[in-house]
Amino acid sequence: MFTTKAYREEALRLIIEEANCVARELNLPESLPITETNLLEVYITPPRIAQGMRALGNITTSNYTYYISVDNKFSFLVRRNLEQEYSNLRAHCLWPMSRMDTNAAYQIATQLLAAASMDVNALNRDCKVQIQAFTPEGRAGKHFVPVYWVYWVAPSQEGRGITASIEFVLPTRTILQMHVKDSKYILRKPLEIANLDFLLSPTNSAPVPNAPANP
Amino acid sequence: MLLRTHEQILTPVRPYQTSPFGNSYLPTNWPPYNAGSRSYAEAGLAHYTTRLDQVKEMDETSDVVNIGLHYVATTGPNSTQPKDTDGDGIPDYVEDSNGNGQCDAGETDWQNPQTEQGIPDPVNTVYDDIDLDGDGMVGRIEKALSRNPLLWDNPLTLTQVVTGEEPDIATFKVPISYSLVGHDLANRIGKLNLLMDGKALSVACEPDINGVCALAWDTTFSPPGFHVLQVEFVLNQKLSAGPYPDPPVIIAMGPPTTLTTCNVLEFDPFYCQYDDLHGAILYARIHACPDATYTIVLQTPEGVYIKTITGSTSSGEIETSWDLTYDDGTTLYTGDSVNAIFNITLPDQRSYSQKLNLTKIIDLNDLYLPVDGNFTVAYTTDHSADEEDLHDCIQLAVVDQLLGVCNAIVCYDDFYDSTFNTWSDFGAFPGNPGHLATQADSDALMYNLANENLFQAPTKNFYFFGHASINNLGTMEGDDSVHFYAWELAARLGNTSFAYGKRAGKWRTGQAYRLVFLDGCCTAMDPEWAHSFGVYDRITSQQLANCPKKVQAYVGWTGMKKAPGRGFKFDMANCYIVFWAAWQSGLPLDRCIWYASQDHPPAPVDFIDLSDYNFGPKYQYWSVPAMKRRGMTYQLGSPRIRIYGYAGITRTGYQPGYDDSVFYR
Repeated sequence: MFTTKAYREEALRLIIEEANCVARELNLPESLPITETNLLEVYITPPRIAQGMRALGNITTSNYTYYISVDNKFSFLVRRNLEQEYSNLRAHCLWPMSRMDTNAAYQIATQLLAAASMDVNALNRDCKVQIQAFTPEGRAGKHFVPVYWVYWVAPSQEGRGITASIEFVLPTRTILQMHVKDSKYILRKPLEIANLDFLLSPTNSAPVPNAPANP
Repeated sequence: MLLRTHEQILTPVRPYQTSPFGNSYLPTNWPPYNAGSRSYAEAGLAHYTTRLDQVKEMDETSDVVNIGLHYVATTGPNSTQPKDTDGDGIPDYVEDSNGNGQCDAGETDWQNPQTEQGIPDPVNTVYDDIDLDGDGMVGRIEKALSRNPLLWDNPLTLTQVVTGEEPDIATFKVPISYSLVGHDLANRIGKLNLLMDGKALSVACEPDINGVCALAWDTTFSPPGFHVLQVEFVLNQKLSAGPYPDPPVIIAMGPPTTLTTCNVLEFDPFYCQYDDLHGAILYARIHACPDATYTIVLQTPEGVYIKTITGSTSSGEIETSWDLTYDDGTTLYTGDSVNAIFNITLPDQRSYSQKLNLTKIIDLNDLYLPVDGNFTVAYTTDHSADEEDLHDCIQLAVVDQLLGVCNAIVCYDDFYDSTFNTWSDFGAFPGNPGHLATQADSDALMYNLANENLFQAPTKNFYFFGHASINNLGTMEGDDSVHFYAWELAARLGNTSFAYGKRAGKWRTGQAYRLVFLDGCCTAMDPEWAHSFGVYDRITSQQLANCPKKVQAYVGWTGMKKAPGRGFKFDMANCYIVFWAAWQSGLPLDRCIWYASQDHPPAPVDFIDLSDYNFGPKYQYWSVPAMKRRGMTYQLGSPRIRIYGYAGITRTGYQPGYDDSVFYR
């Protein structure tokens, strides 16, 4: 679990930089640029684990959590306060079932993934697409909320996980969740920490705390 | 021909003799008699014989063992009754289990009916893990249920009784006093589970008019057809100190019985409640045919008409909603309970009717599971020498990964907060990983988990490492016991009826947790712990498409999990670092467990060697001799991780498509 302040700062700098790119590419409702002072939460994977897992970490703004979790590439995006979002959508955006449009959902899903440099063609080639809407009244209810899950499942993995998925609000194209689990479908450049040895050298280790220890 | 020492030349005609146990008894004048290579004690055959007259090996004139097949010595040539010299009801060969003719540690004296003065041998603790009469109950359970350990008197039998609620509710009487197993009794000695096809159902034990347990199984929540039913008794148990799983056998099973159920509709526990804000989803699966038309008549519990909903299905599922209005479409129903009578008509005009009772959730907090809620971590250890290592392991591999680390200049917030633990400064600052050293610590943990401090944000996530069992957590070391029981927790969280009520697992009334991992033995043998934390048995992607805010998961073990012995906990720390790093990196729970279950995880975790400790069945496998040494049953000796709830839950949300996770099994 050894780390240094310098390592964390460099990892954080890279993740923030990438989050800014993603926010711009996906036109996310963020106040750009995202800076360290905008962050509510930061998880920087301990260096040894991060080198192995190639999962640098993730940051949370007041709007989204940006994950660099697959091959040091931007891979997951999750809207903050999801539960509240679902409640608001349900309260204010209940549409009659006749307006359910999975074709439109699929089109927008592929556009959003492509905008984030995900390889939609390869996903379509290798996986089966499934689409699910937010149906708070059940599938036979009168209304639904225009929030769609579009997800790609490898044929051998059906029921045991997905390769990529995106959940979004159709009218506003607001992304609620996006996950791409396999690096080969993520066309983005991996984030690489230069001068790793220097950053992890003892001179850059964390200072000794001056606060008293907890019992 | 060269004979080696102890080899004998046999006559062509072998003079074997026949007696009750077989036809290979030897005459005493035949060369193999007293011709073995060692003594009877070394051979462990003191209470066995080769002779028709049933003289034991140890009673022969020579100590040299006979060559040939040995039989248990009986009371006479024509008897099948094994010799019981002291008349205590336990055969000599059982009392002297190593067969050396002596009374050793771990044995009772075959010449003394009370090896420990005042304690008849059949109730001696030597037989606590042994089933002397073969009725399925070891000595510990025979004593707990006041049964005769030498008599086939297993009371775990199911007798169906007629209550008038048939066929929807099948009620079975089990001749065990409710005062012994009632969930609401402080001095209960254990619990009863009803197993359907080997899987524990959430069926409450309730007293009948004679105070005997009645198990009422609502068959409308199970698929129709032929089922094998069995009752299981689980003894309360305080856990013993030590790095190894707790050996005692605390489970007894009754004989199986069968029942064929004929419900056409199968209801789902996830859809048994409604609330003023969201109304209700009315759900049923039709097993007879995918095509059907239906009417659902809603009535008050007193039978007063509210509304009728009609529709048709071609998928075999009815999944519609009710906005809590009466037939006029505007007047709101405000009652706390409602009956939905499903009437279906199949294409061949056959029709069926089945009733579902739904209850209202009063406290909407139950529905609200904040993803960034507080996290509580706790662990117990019982070797002071281990405390430091385990402290560092839990602190660095779990708490710091969840909460973050701090130094003199800045604190790095890692998503979760805690009202129980504190982070450390890269290991230099000790932090608080949640060690439970005393009963007071356990009490404080319970207070924390129950969110009884009104001025703190609620805790919705919990990880525990340490000794655990089917229904309690903690460790007993000497007189200093640290534990709490599942029913105590359920009561504090307001989940007693969800865990133990007549509709256990269906009507949630108390606090619900988003993620719970009880990382100790036997914590997922049945849903009791999951229900105590307000977690449903199973949640599907489709259910989350209806109610995405209700995503939650409980993780436990189905048997005696292994833990590293004394000393450094690097192996264990590696496993937990992988698990929690995967969780913090946004991977679904199913994948986090999978990565932490590999000897050599593949990319992206292929940098780490977990072969010395991981969650996988290969590492967790107990060999038969190891199980035997610890008195473990096969069932407990094949520990696996099991998930209740939804396996696709992630740190900040969930992913669909995890409806067939291997960790549900």
